[in-house]
Amino acid sequence: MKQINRFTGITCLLVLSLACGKKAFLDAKPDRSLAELQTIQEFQALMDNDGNMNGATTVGLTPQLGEIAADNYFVSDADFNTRFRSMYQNAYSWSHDLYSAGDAVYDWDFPYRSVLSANIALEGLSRLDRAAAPAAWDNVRGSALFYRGHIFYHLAQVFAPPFDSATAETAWGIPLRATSSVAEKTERAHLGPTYRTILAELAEAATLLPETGLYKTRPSRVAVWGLLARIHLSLRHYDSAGYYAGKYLAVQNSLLDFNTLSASGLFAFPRFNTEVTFHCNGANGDDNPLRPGRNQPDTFLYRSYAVNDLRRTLYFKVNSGVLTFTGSYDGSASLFTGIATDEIYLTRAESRARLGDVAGAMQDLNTLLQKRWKTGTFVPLSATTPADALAKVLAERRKELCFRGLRWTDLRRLNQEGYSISLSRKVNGVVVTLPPNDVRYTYPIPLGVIGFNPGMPQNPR
Amino acid sequence: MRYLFLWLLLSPLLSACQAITLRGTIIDEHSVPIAGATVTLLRTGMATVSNRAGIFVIANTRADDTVAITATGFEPALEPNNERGLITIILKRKTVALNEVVVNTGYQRVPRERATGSFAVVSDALLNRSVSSTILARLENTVPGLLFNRGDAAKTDPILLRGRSTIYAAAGPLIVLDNFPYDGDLSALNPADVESITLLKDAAAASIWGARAGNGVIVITTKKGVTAKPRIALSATIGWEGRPDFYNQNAITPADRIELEKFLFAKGFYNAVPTDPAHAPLTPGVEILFAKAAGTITAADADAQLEALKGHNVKDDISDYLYQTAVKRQTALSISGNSALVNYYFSAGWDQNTETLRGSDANRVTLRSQNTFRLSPSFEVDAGIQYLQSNSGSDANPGFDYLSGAAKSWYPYGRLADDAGAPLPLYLHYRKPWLDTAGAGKLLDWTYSPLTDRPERQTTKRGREIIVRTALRYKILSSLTAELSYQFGNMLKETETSSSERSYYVRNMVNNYSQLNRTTGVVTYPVPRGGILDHSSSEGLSHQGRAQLTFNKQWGDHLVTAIAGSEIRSLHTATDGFRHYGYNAEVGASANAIDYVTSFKQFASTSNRTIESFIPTTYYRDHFLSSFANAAWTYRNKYTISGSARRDEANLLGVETNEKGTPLWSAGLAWNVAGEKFYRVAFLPVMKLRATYGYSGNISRLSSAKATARFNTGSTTPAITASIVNPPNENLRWERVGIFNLGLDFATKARRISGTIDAWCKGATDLMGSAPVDPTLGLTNNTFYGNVASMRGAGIDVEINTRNIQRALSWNTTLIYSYTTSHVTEYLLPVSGTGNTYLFEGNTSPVVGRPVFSLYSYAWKGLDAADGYPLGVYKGADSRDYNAIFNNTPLNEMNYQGPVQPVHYGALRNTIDYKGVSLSFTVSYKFGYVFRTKSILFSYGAFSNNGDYARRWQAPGDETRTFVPSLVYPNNPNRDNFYRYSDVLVAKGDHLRLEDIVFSVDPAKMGFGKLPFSGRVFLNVSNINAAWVFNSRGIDPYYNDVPKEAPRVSLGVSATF
Repeated sequence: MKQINRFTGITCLLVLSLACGKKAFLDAKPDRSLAELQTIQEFQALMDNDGNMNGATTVGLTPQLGEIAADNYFVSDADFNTRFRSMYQNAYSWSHDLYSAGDAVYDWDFPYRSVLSANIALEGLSRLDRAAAPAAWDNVRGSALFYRGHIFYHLAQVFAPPFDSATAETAWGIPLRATSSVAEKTERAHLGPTYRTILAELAEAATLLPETGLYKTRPSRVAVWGLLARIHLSLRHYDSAGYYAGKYLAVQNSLLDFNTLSASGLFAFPRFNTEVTFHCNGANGDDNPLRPGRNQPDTFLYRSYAVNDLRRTLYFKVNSGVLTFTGSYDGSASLFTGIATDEIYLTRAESRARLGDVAGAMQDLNTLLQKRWKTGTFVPLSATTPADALAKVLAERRKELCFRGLRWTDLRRLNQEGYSISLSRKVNGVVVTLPPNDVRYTYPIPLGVIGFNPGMPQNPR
Repeated sequence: MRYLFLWLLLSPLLSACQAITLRGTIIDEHSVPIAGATVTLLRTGMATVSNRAGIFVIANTRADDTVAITATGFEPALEPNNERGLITIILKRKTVALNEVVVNTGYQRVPRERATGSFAVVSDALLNRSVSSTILARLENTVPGLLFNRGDAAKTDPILLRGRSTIYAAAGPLIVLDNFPYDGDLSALNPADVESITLLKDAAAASIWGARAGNGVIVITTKKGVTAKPRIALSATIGWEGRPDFYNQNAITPADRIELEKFLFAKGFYNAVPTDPAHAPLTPGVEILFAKAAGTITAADADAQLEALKGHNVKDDISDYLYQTAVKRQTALSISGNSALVNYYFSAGWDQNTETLRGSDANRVTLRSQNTFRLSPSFEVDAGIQYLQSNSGSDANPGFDYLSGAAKSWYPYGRLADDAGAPLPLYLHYRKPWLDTAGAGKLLDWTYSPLTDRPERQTTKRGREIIVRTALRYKILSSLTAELSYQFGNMLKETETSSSERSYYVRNMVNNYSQLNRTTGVVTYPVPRGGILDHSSSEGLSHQGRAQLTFNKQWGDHLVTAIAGSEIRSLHTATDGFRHYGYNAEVGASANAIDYVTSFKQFASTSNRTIESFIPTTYYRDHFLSSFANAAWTYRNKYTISGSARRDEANLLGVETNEKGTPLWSAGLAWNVAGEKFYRVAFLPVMKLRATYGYSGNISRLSSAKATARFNTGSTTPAITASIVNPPNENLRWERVGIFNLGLDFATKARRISGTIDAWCKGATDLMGSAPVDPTLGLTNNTFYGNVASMRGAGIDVEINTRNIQRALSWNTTLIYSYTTSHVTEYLLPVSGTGNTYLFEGNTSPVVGRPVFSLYSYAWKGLDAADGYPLGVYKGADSRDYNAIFNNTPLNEMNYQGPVQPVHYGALRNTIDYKGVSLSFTVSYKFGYVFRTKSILFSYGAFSNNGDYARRWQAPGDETRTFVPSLVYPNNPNRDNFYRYSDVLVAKGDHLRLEDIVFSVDPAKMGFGKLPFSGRVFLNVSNINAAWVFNSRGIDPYYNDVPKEAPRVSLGVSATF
């Protein structure tokens, strides 16, 4: 009742009928229980929703259809036949038909849900005066730009073809939704504009964000550099990748010494460990084949870990009767796909090797591996030529970053580089293969999206 | 007239042609000057217009000329000029002829002949025929197109004007009281203050109300002073309503129930009871069976006790001890008058009712003062205030359907009191043997005896409402008036429930939270001993203002009326509440330091609970800014063209909608065919055709134009997080209802037969609903609540009045008939795969091609001759797979039975009068709808069952005489579900009903000569409920397995001095 009295004075009708009060009068919140997002703190809260923006709840966030089709693992025929819905079966077996009508494609839906939150925050901020709280305003805007750029990049790894400057202006990228309006039609951007938008927004984010965030779920300038290193590597802009990796490592170079971790539990790595600069998890539907107890590491991959390599025991455990990857930096069954320092060392090492800096490459690689082997057992690697260095870096990249949601992008990139990696799997006794640079390296847009946007170009498969 | 004639004949001879300056004053009967009157000299043709003081001057007139004066709203007058050149002319206000009805749209008053829209007017006399204490209820059976749903159908929409044209938004008509939308409680309004009610049914009538008029508008106009002499009106009514008929509810007989309990006991249904951790109650019959089995009483004693139980029916106790004859008293007094300077109306009303449920009563006081002060001939000020106060009280009388929480309902052989009338306990919450020992005597008494408990818990509801109105009217020109009006309203409602320490409610809660240390025997009471006070309140504050220009001008054959204006409206509603534990009503103190955090072990169960504390608060704000215009042009009283437009902006709507400001509009045409020269149908001297088309809107709170969110904390961080509940929808707009209406008004000679026929169709678009959207939009579940559905409807409204006999004995008849259909034409959400979604009452599950509220059922193939199992159909074949039928039958394989709201409805009213003694009665009818009847469900945990138990299949051959399935143990709940929702239990709602009989005596017409007052004495019998039903089970759809209300007899007198 008291609130009402407060409003009686305000609601002087004749005054309100004047134009000056009209906007406020029509902007009044119709129902107090509905929290309208209006203040910077409220938009910050929207960005801090780690479930939506970082995939921190069990459903996850970044698209994993790529990792599902990559070569880090296999599943048993029994699991394949009974546990996975058809979309995941088809993705795993590189089937030409992927979706069935009515499929919920979390790999598309969850990322665009985070885009909506980012867009609402950006639209809301544009109505607020930055001068009132510049740091908070900058942080929200920087965060929204980062989240949007980050998730657009991950969507492009699955739903857009690998970047090639020759075709970038004609090949189709992904829809770059920049508005929360439901009335705005969805349109795919070309591949070139897709990446230009992502890079431009991240460049702006770097100017707005603090060097490190209050929480590891919050974007920071270091995370922007890490993400830029990741993106430039995927674009085969090796010098840029090395440049941003260097900026990242200049601020954050501490590594987790695997000797300090216990191998006794199922999940060895603590969430938000020292290497993590941006926390994020991959989409994690209950019926997907990547979950611990279903995924079984590729035999060659597993054998490539030396006996004294601690990753052999910290990454892989026996669970549900099978040897399975449990080494997520989320410390749970959810697969970590965020940005961590080990990836950045490997990115700089690859960049250095490709640019001919053999010593620099090997130094980065040895710095990392020193922390991965049992104390006193590691013999530093050396290389004679850039090609030798690159081969060693790529081999270690595969071993260090498996199940991080990065392998699919690496496969697309390395095949563009001419590595001709052909994948093959045996499913129910039938051998299936995915040749290099196959159209199946690009997923079709979900049928539901095409249904609502009949003119939208579809990817061939 | 004679003088005029003489004067016309002689004046030319007598008078010379001298020039006279004519000065005159034009006034009305109250000596109020009339401005803007046209003064014409017939011979010379000279003319002028009177000024604000009613004065006119014309130079150089002839003394032998005649002055003709015309003014809008007055009878024309002729007056001879005279040599002095000074005249005073008194114009008589045009009296409204008997058949001239004025319709009030809430913005203007229009004579019915010039109205293009579909209006229905209910007069004071017709409203007063009913004795209902709420004004809205008095409209029932008086107007075509207005449907009052009763029985099961009332749960869908209690009141509808011309059918439903929305899916999820509110479907009831907008209520306008004295020109402003009314947000208070209409039941608080004193019906004696109401002058008339106008219903705005089509677009031309309603669209002036814009975005809130989509469901039609009911305009209530209150009384004003009419006579120069103060008039005192007094009315008093007393009514009685007997106890309801509880035997209308089909319940299992005590004897059948005892036999059923024996059967279930033998089958082992109660085997788990002794170890039940919740100590669920058992009926006395089952307790006797347990005692018999345990050997604590002999078999012979047990059987004798069981036989004794069969002899008593709980319904008789309910009727005797919980109900009574209700008495309703209404008294109203008013003083009113109309003089040159002031029009005043003051009234007071006092209602005092007791209800049939003992311990419940209600009273109401209404005070009202409405005045118009005429400060100058062109300037008027209105000032009015209305105060309503209502109080109602009730106690813990549980009534006929006691059911609360885990408690059980009355059992058929229950006894509320012993033979001497002393209250008896009933075990409806916990088993008696457990209560007898629970807590080892350390707890409060835990028995429940309904009659003792009644006074221990009192609920009081208080309503207070103040409405203050003011208006300024200024006549700028004779044809142009400007008006500013403002209304303030404050509506306050409070509900307070005080449960004493002795009430079962408090004892049960205190005991349940009691923590008993079994070793020390110490009891602690987290819920303190003492009373509990619950208080909830709601307050509404409204401000409404309007600025309006009204233009009325007649010249030659042309008549133009127009209004334009703008309006602002703000309504804030807040609810709040609190609870006090350990409340002592005498000193108003309550316990503090209640632990709302700890989860306490419950004494009577294994669960833990915290003490209830939280009463949510709400706060709503509605803001509207509107502008409107309406104009009508009438030519030669034959053709009228009307148009209206209104633009609404609201805080409930989206910015783009507000900015675009697409107006809602209407256009109409009326043609007085009988006024044409070619019209020669002698027996139909009145014949008018109307056609209108236009749009009105409907606003709902279901969605917001702005992004809204819910706050929480992070899954992995301590940060406050927000998640989107509702995405922004700048395009959110009102639902649009387009109506096309064709109307015909006719009357035969002397209006022996007169009537109105309207045919209409409407299309509602942009209806609110949820729809799937492009997943790229990022919405939760990929669905979006927005303007996504459409509906269509059509119907006919007919009202025919006949004057059958018109001598000393008169006999008049009114027939009203309505036909209303509507169905969903577009709804974007996919149809649910399982049909049972569409079965449950209370779910709104729109299906394209069907009315919003439809009834579906499973195909019924009778009872299996072998065992009395019901037979259904699954995948085209006869089936007893009840799980599959109930869970998997798709909607298109279920039978659509029809709408749950009537399609054809109306009433027939006859009034016979002989010299002031009159008798009138109403028969209503509703056709074209269905309802689901109730039958036995073999869910054995209940304390009572449906009476169809007696009609169940028991032996082969029974399937030819009954459709009630056989008794089975154990029971499959889906066997019940299939039967409950099968064809066989669907019944037609069609019926005819004698509603009321009114007998009245008017002494003034009885030839007693001149009396100092006029008035009438009447006897009204309503709620007669004599119904002729057209379903095979003979069930009155108004009382489907619920107690039937008794007729209400009222005696009243009204007099005017």
